Amino acid sequence: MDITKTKQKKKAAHEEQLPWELIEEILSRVPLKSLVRLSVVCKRWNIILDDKKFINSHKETFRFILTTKSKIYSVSIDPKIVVRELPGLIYINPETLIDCDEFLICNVGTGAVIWNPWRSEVNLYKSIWGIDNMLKIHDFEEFGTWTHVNVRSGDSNQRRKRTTQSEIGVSLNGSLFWICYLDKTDPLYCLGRFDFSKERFYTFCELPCGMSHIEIWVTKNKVDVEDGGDVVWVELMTLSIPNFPSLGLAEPNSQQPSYYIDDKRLVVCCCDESGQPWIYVFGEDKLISKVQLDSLVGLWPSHCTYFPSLVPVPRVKDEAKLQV
Amino acid sequence: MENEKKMITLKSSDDVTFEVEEAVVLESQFLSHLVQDCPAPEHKIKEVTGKILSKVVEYCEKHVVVVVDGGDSSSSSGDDLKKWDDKFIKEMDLSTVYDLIAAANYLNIQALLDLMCQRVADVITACKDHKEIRETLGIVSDYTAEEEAEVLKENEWAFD
Repeated sequence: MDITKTKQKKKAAHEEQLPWELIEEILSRVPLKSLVRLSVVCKRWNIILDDKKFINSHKETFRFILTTKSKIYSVSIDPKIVVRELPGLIYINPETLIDCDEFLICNVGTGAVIWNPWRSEVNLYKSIWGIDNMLKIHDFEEFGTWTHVNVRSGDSNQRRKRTTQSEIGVSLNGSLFWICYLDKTDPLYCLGRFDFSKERFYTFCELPCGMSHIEIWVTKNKVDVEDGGDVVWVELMTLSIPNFPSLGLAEPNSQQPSYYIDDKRLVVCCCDESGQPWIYVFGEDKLISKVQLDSLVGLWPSHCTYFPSLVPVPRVKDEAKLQV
Repeated sequence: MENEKKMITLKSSDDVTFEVEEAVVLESQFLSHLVQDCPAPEHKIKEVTGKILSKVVEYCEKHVVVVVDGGDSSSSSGDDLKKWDDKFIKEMDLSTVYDLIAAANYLNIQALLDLMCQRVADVITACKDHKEIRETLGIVSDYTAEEEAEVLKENEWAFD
């Protein structure tokens, strides 16, 4: 029977017939690129699309982004690992990817782009200005080379020499965090925070782990980005070195592993010595599974953790001033 | 092997009865629990009408046969099953699809739920804009003109 013939007598049938969770079931099967425009259909759908739970249960939701010279891929983890090519952004070719809350910031050599891969939206910025403690980056030409920030600035205790350990910081509620190495002191590592409003680098809190094996620590409570004094660390798992897969960290092309922690599970994306990308899942101090990603992806892709969001990419009205 | 198959009678909300093999009933998680817990020859399903239950039975009978037969040549029977599924959904109007989604959810038949939800998702995807979606699915917008303009503006990119 033709659908159009029955639509007249079935006005509002959809709304009355199905409960909320079954509407979600249907919408979670609509492909990504058609999803955004659904928020205009009615308020109920808009509320569903706005919910993080919905995005996380969408059939095409993903946890990692991989990029090669010409292609961009998403990697879904649950219920099984699936690699999908993300359409339409071949011209970006990002050199560095940084997960920044709802968006990815990509260094593209000539500047930076803010990108929402879930919505396929992108905006190219040469410079970005923000307000107060929000994003404030003066010259995107230099983005990705944060080592020029004086790591000793802002600290009252200047006796300790700090060296930034990780190339790429983690963004949390508008602050950027790095792991720093403290020279010849115990503990060895601390977490550094860059305060955008003061343009200064602070020691946020000390880190509990040492150097002998791989330990995974998580914070017990929600972190207040302004104050690192209250942070309590809980050890999630310890991985002995023989247990840990051989990662290609010594190779010149290598990048630090991307990872996320989900319940009691640690999920890691990393390349091996030959540049093949793998997904490793750890739990209860053990390697649970390892899966080599689709050979289509190629060797040494850039990778980063990214949880999809439907938040639109902010657009520049006046290029010199943008409120993120 | 026993040749005699155990038969079970299902009765819809409007008292239409269907006599089916036990294997067919086992496609539904809900019914297999019901049959195990309460071994009566007849089960009344108050939430599902005869019209919809006949579709559910038709689907489960088809799928149970293919699973049993397709042990060795699963790929070709898999294709056949997909063709059958396509035909099954194409002959249905959307209102029936919704009823089947509700029934598959209640009876806990995951494959049928997947198939039916995908059908509606495909219909939504095929629409060129939100107006067509509303018209096709019979949704009455609860946005005021101003609100709608605002949501449209936020999502301009998606309509380029």
